Amino acid sequence: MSKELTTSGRPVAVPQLGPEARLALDVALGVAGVTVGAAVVAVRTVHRVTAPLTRLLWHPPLVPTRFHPATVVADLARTGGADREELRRRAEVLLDAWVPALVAMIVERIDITQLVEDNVDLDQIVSTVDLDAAVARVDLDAAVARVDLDTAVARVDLDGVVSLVDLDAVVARVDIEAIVDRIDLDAVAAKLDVDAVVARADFDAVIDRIDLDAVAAKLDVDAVMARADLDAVIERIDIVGIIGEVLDVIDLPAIIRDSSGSMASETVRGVRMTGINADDALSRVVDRALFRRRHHNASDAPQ
Amino acid sequence: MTGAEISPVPREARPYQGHSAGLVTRIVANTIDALVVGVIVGAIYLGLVSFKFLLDPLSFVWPSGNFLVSLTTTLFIATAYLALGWWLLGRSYGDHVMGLRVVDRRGRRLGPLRALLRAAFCVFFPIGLFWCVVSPERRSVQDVVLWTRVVYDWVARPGASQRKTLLGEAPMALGPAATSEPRGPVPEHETDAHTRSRYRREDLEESPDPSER
Repeated sequence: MSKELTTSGRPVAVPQLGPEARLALDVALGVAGVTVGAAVVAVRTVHRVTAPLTRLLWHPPLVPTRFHPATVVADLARTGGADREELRRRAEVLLDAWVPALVAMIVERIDITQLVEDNVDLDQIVSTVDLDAAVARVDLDAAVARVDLDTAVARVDLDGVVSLVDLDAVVARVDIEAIVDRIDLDAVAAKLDVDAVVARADFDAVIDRIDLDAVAAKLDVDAVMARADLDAVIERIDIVGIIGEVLDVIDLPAIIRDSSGSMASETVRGVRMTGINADDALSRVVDRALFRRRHHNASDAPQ
Repeated sequence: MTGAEISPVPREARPYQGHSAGLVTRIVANTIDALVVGVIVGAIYLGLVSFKFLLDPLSFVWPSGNFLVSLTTTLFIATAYLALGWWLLGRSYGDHVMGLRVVDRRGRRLGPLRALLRAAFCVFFPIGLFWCVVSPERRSVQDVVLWTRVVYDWVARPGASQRKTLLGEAPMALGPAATSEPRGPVPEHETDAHTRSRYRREDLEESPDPSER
């Protein structure tokens, strides 16, 4: 009928009272109680009876107050109180010094965990705790603010952690469409410094990598042209300026002057061509009459 | 030269440009010139008559023309008219109407002395024109003697059609009558300046006129 405790690894037997001993103890306690009650009654009675006398003794008449026994006792009590306080202080100092050492010695000899496991119903205790209220009382922000995350992260072997993760499985489980639906792309784009991004981009390298021939082969030029707003393009072209430059180069006014000055009318042109043809005809006749091979001069000209 | 120039000459007439002109065209041109000279002489006559009428209207009678004086005056005016036209413009009005130009052996406009000599020669010896019928080079006696030529050139001003090309280059540094130089039978597509220049030289220097020998 005795539980076993372990002290420094050695089991120690705890003594248990038997029924008879318990009866004797109860009787003793009953006698003590009656005795104490009788004593209290006796003391109260005596005190009531002797109260005037006691009062006279404590405060005798015709005696200066500072010599009254009550005053003397009070002074002694005050002195004793101070001594008691001093004694308590010294005792605390001694206890502070000794208790930890004694407790350490005791705890060293007792397996407290085992003791708690054997004697305490932890499940019941936990069931009484209102964890929700406890968590509600915790200031998580303050707790997180106290945590030195940098140091914690620095200690983590991220490579090792990542190598353990089966990324394929993780990605397979991710619902990318749902994520994309949740993203406010407009807000993201508004925050983007496009100029800086473009300035950093190496377009030459990008263009070098592109197979422009393949791209051009895939291009549906007809569709592109159908979509193009050619009218707008033509509106943007400075046709008047281009014509002006061309006219500057070819000197059209001079040509117009030449043509209108020398060949103002079809009549003049016809007379001239008739004259040329008549010249050729006459030359052919003369050449034939003189048995002369036609000279290359004018007669070789295209008819 | 790039061949990109725009010529005011009609397409059918372009092959003849620079070729020596024949008798018919030249006669027509000379006839027009004769009419012009007649108009000038008539205008001068009318001017003198009007002047005389203004001086003494009451005793005015039509002056009886002295044939010799009139003929001499007419020939002199014709000579001056042709000489000035060939020297200053390279062509008379008759040449202009018929699209002709009078040039020297290098295709340049005539100088004043040669223009005057040729004009006098033509006025006082018009029959010499007919030598161009039998001349293989279509040269009249005046042309043979004075080393000149009459060529088809429908462009009004010398070098007008080649003054500027699309590349902005000067056409050819062959003188003011560059485009009116006599040209050989150059195919129309052969527009290289060097080739054309070579044809001209051959046409002028290596084609002897029988009458010059």
